[in-house]
Amino acid sequence: MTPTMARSPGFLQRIFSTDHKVVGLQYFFLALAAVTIGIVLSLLMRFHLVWPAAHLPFIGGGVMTPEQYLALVTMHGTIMIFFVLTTAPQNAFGNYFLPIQIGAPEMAFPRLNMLSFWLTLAALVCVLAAFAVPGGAPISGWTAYPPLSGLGEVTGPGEGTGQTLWIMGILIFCVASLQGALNFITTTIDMRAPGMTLMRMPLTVWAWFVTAILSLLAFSVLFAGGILLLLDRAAGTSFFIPGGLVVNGELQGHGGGSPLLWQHLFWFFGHPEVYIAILPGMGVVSHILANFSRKPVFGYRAMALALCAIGFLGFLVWGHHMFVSGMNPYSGLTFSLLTVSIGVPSAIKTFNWLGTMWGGKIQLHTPMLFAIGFVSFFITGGLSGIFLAQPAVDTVLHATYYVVAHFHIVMGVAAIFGIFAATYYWFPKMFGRAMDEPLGKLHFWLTFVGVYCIFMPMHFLGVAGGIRRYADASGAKYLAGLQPLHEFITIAAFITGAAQLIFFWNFFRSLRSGAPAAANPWSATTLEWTTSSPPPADNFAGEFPCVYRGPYEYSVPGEASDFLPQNFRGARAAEAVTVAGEIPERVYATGVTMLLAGVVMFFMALVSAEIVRRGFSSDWQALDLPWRILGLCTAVLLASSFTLERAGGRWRAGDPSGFRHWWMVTAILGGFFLTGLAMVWRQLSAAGIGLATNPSSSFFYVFTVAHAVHVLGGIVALAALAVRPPRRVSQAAAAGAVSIYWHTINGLWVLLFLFLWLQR
Amino acid sequence: MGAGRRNRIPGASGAGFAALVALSGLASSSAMAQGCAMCYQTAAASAAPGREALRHGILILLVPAVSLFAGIFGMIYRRRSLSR
Repeated sequence: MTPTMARSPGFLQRIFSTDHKVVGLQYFFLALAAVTIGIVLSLLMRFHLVWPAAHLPFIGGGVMTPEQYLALVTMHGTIMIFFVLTTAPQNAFGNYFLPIQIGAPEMAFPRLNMLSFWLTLAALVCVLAAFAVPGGAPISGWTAYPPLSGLGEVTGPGEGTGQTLWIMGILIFCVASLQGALNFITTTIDMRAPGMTLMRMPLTVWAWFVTAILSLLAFSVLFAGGILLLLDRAAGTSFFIPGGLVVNGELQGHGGGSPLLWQHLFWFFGHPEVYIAILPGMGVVSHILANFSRKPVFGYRAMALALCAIGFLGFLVWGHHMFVSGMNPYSGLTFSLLTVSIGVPSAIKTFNWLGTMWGGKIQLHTPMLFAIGFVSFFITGGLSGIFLAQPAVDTVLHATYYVVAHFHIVMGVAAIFGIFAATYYWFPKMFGRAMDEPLGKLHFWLTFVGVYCIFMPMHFLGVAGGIRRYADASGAKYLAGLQPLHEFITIAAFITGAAQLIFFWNFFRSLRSGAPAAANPWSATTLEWTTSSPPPADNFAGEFPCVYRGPYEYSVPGEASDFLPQNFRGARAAEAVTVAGEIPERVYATGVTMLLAGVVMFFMALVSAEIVRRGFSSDWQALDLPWRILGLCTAVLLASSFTLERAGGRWRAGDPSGFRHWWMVTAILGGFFLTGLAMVWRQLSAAGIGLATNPSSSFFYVFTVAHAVHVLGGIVALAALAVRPPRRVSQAAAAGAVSIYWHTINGLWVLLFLFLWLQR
Repeated sequence: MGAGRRNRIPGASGAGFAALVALSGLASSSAMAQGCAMCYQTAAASAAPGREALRHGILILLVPAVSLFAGIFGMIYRRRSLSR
């Protein structure tokens, strides 16, 4: 199977390109647009905090209302976290450089890759459209806590259509991220060049790989939570809305839900999201520090393992986030130890970054300055985080500017410095031109100093009791003394914002008229620097590399050059290997397995939600379900797994018509299953039990409809494969992937059936 | 390899360290939450069945997540030397 290659593409082919480099650049420019909007929103907030009565001509009514301020807070957080910090380091640079760094011609699924980008763009448009609808953008923050986010416009402007658009945008973003994640994982597992063993992968690849796993597992859960929140708003269910709630004098027609359930689901995503934002930056910084210190990465193996450990422990930290009251003290200590232990790999990374630079021939080019800036902010943010790790201190500081300063430095600014470092570093490779160094250094120093001027005083603001999310603190006397500090921060923010114009000027001017860049301007070792700038359509012009050494062989004793590219054979007498530029067929089985990992997490999120919702409710009523029909459905689905195996047996026996026969029987049995489910829904509906009747019926409908959608997907795949052989992949590979999918979906149903049965 | 062995602390091993960590659990008093104060306070203010449901809900999400995370690493480890 050969990758799609562009042959003098037209306009539409360029726009809808499946080339991973084009998709990466599309993601990059999307993030650039998003960060511009995000910065403008933050400057508006800072302006309002200092001059709350100022007239702004573009604000309806002239003076910003508290609700409009909260809308800015919500949209700034949403845009920056989802469309900048998640999109740029992973999807933009990862898409462009992961395949090249592992010596692959493409991503494993180029079309899916293109679709991921267009869905991300649709998500951004959907979220931004909230500004344009009556009521404006939502005011419930980027965490969208119910009941504020779940009740509709009765709770305030922006909570009507604006909040609905916000949720739909995030749901679309989840789908795009899941597709991207399975593509990244499959590409890393199955598409590496000969010789590219795990311990020869650049740390950027490790970081993108771990981040993709986090995305796959975390976004599946956010997707489940988002669907439940949308149902609360649109279908009258009560997953998150407590009963007896009176808002603005109106009794709400919901009952028994728990806002804590949303916290439970949301923070399963929210905690790993911190690492999704920062891990790619860690990879890039490790990469750049070695390059410009002319030294191997200090403790490469420890650095790779630390990346994996941070990703792994990120989930356990979430567990401790809420695993709290009434628990066994011993299990509490275990969770505490696990939580604290995430500091160990973080400390390893920091120590090793310093170790990499120690004694090196440091070249302070612009990417190196930004990489050092990243380390500085990571340490500063980490130190302020130690205080927040103490519950007694955290309780006091949680709603203050201290927390705002902490997470902006460690998660926002550090990650953005990683993005800047990557942009300055890879600009010559992506565009074939160099950026202006003096302008880049000016940009760095103004931003570095400016950011500290914004966020260091903000810590003191928080310790002094400055409360976050308040649109106007001038009414509180005890906060009046903090106003000069606010003014200083706002002035620093505007200067730092203006400094970004230097970056934009440098970027776009260099794009047009920058000095032509050589293929390897930084004398670097990894595979992206062994091809032309910019790389050809298949990345290596048909001469795919074979890897003979590690990724950071700088200043190797006894060698004439101070860097050895990964494809440099040197004195090693190994025979040259002819490397094929094809995508192996096993990517289909791997890709489907990753898809199913996401599906499993989605259903586990629903099961977990039901258990929590049930524990918190006094209105739970067991459903009287038609068990005979459901049992029959289960039997039919199990039988379809046997017929599918039978089809596989016929294929192996060289009997294509027998294969097709049993294959179609499987699809028909799937159809019977769906018909049975439809009968169950009809019976319940006839008995007056709908989606919003009670919580158990809500969960039953969500479980069964979600599973039916997956079965329908399987039937379509089965039927398509039976009717027409696939064009780009062998029938055996396609049938193998569909079989994995079908058996797993059937297994999930059996577990769901047992779960429902046990609750009778 | 020899140098690595020489640099080791006598008696120290991965299993020994794990045992030490496990033993330290026996010396614990009641553990407080670290992390989000708001989540902690909301959870702590809930009735006992709610807190128990929350604990179960956390485990049901945590176990598959950790298993899948480890499984994907197992997958790439098995193919560590497998090229395209």
